[in-house]
Amino acid sequence: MQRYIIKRFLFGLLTIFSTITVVFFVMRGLNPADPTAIMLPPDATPELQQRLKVKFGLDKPLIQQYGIYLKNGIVGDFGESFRYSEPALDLVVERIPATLQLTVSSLFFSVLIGMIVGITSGVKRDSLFDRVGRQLSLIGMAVPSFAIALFFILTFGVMWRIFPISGRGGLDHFVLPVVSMSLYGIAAFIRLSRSSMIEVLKSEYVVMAHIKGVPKIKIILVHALKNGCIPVITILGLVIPGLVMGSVVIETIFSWPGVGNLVMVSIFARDYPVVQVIVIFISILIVMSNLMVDILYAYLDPRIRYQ
Amino acid sequence: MQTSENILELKGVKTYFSTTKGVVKAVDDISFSIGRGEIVGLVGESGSGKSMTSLSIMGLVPQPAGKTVAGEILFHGEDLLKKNDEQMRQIRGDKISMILQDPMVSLNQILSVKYQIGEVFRYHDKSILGSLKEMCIGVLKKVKVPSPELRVNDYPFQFSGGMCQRTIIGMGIANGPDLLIADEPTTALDVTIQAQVLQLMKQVQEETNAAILMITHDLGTVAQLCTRVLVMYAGRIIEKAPVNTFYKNPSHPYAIGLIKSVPVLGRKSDRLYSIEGQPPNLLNPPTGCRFAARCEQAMPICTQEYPPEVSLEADHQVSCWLFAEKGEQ
Amino acid sequence: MDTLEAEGSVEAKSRARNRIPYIGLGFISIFLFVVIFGQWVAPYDYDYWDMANITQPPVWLEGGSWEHILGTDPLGRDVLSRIIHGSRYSLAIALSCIAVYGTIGIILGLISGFLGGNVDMGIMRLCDLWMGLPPIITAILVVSVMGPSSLAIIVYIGLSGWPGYTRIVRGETMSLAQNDFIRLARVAGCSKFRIITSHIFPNIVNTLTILITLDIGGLIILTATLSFLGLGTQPPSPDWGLMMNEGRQYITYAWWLIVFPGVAIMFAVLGFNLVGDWLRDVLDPKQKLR
Ligand SMILES: Nc1ncnc2c1ncn2[C@@H]1O[C@H](COP(=O)(O)OP(=O)(O)OP(=O)(O)O)[C@@H](O)[C@H]1O
Ligand SMILES: [Mg+2]
Repeated sequence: MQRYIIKRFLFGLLTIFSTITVVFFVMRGLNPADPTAIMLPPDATPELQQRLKVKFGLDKPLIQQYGIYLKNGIVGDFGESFRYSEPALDLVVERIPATLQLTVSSLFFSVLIGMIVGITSGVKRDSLFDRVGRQLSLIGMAVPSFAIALFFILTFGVMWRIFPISGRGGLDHFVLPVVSMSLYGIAAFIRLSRSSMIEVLKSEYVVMAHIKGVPKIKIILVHALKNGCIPVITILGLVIPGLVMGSVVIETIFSWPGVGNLVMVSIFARDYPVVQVIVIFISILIVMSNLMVDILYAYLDPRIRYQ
Repeated sequence: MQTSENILELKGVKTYFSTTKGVVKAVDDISFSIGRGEIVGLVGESGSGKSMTSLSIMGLVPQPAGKTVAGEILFHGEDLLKKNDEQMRQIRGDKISMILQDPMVSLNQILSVKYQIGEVFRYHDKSILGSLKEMCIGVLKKVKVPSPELRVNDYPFQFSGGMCQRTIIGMGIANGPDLLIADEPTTALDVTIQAQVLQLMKQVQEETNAAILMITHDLGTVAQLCTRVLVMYAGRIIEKAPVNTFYKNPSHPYAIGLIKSVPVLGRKSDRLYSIEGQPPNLLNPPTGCRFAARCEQAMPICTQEYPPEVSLEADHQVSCWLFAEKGEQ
Repeated sequence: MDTLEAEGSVEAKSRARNRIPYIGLGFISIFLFVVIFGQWVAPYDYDYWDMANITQPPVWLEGGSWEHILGTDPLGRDVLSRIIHGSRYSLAIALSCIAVYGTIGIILGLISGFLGGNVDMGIMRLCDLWMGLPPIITAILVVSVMGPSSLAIIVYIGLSGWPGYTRIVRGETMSLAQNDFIRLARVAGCSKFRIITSHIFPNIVNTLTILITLDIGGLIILTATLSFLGLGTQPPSPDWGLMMNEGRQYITYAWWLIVFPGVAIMFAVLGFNLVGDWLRDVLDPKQKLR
């Protein structure tokens, strides 16, 4: 068990490191555009451009730049933003809480609501509840989250003015972003946990439990739920990267001052230091959540624990 | 048929499945009884409705497609079909138990053996003698799982197939049931293990005096273990007989075919007898005898009307026109 | 209870046969009709500026007219025509993505499954590594290097989507390779290439049909999202996501600029998802592909 977790952890570190490396070389090596050209007015002299390059260390050979980047990175210096002339790390770190609030709460709602509805649907298959839930989840999976967000802004923000539509503030600022970000996930988890539940309820060990005279509610809560959760958890690992994408969209629409918002601005401004820090942040986030999924998995499934 | 000592009696039980293509008559009008402490074999081809018969008794016919639509299932004289879900739940695992075919999938792989054995006690208001864990160890001991004190904490995937089936048998007899249904308990096991498991069942039966309904494809098992045989064909029981009578004097042409198809040590024959043709579709089964199409002795009436059950001896019944009055004309 | 299970899947199959998704097929038919005949059906060109009628509401609202049934945008462009022309973009981009990653994925899967051994292990390791790279990071990289364009979207999705196909095709190929007819073909001295192209590939077409149909819906959503973020197709093209991005700033007084393209996305995706689910039930009753 411990060995398993340690192995996964080391694998995660390797992933982060290789992501940093790939991103560095692709962004600085393959990139045709010169970031200094964007920072300066079009009529700037070549000397000025050269001075700027020296300032940001862009005049050295790529491999040397990479060495410097890693060396500084260890002490937490990821360079200065081209755009804001502020340390890139500070710029990103300052925005992390906002993004985490958004992603964690929508993940929470997606899983909670999706599983409750999905499991109920699976248990009460073909009931009215199941049929309605199935139709709604089909529609939920057909609408992109940005469209839902815009629709909510239109109705609750513009027409009825119930909720604020931009920025971060009180609890009311959370409602529209979190709901629009969760709906797709809710729909996906409904479908997944429903089919997984149906699958499990057909299995032989559930029949066996009935034969032993275990009450139905216990069968659902112990046998079916535990087994049915395994595929759901597997999917959780795949959903989290999607959530990061979702937060980019939602933060952009609701002007939410988070990392997702910053990354869009930085890409268009070719602000590499910032983009790189964000990439590191994203891969740490994903590695950590994968680790959590692995631990959950091992907790649920003794076949992994006893490996 | 049997005396007052019957613990189970089925009368005209029908279990049907409604599918989009029509009604599948998986169990169609079957009647039989089992006496206290008796071991009765139920044999028949795959798909003839043996498992559905046993699930009907347990009240566990797959919902919502399947339903027991007619008949009576008397257990100690009380009709199980009239009981509600909670009453049936209390009977299951306590007074009636069942063993399924494939032990590896009948146990939940991610719950411990201790938990799964414990369920048998937990939900039947058993006065716990000692701790639950000790009771579970006791169960494993009884079915001869080696070092039960250690193994009780294991998970099923750490058990061999034979050990899993032993555990399941142990769960089945834990509460001292009056009736144990074994649905092909050895089919999924290695040949060497099969003999051990059958041995164990016989021993268990002697100790607890539970009646056993033994479902099997294997006539050898029947000869070894059972006192009586029921032969099922396409959802109906076509012959009931004591084991000795059945082997010496099978009457229904299908039963005769079955006996002939058993390889006998020492008998020299280059080819095993096998019954020609396919069993009928249980969706829209033919009127008349269902075996008629494959029967070498079929008469015109066989395809027109279902034969009545005829008693050849006190405990030997057969449903075949060869023995019924109208058929002789 | 093998029989039980087998019956169950027969049941699922026949149930699915009977429940043909007319609604989904309807949506897809309309979508495809519009894609093919859009040029002749659409009242206007997607970039025709009717400066006399800017920001006109749909016909049923006050100020609307039959000339612009779903209204116009602030440049006087007809919303209906842009949606109709946009369908082509949606489908074309989605199909191009599939073509790229499908080709990579299928070829690697066939090779991996058929040859086995070290080749198989190498390809599977590559899959693992590739799937470890978070997709959003690939997107950031591709766009940073190529700049935003529909080609960037195709490159990004094309590069990141293949491992899923490789795994499934590999699995199917492996189980097919065990089949007697393939063994016979091998014994008969068919070349590996021939066995793959004329024996194995035709047998995985079912699986591929399901996968592709199920993918199109998700891809329409993904590409629309990327266009919405400004990472994909650039103005003045009538991509649905882009239209909604442009309409965003007028949300307070011209709701039709975002609602109609959004509804178009929903119906198209719904159509493909419904039909995809149905195809899976009919062609894959054992539901391996879940
Ligand atoms: N869910 C279902 N829907 C429709 N028909 C079913 C269903 N389950 C079982 N049946 C039908 O019931 C019949 C009897 O099945 P059953 O499982 O009792 O056979 P069996 O005698 O136990 O066979 P085996 O020896 O293979 O276990 C089968 O022919 C099958 O067609
Ligand atoms: Mg059976």
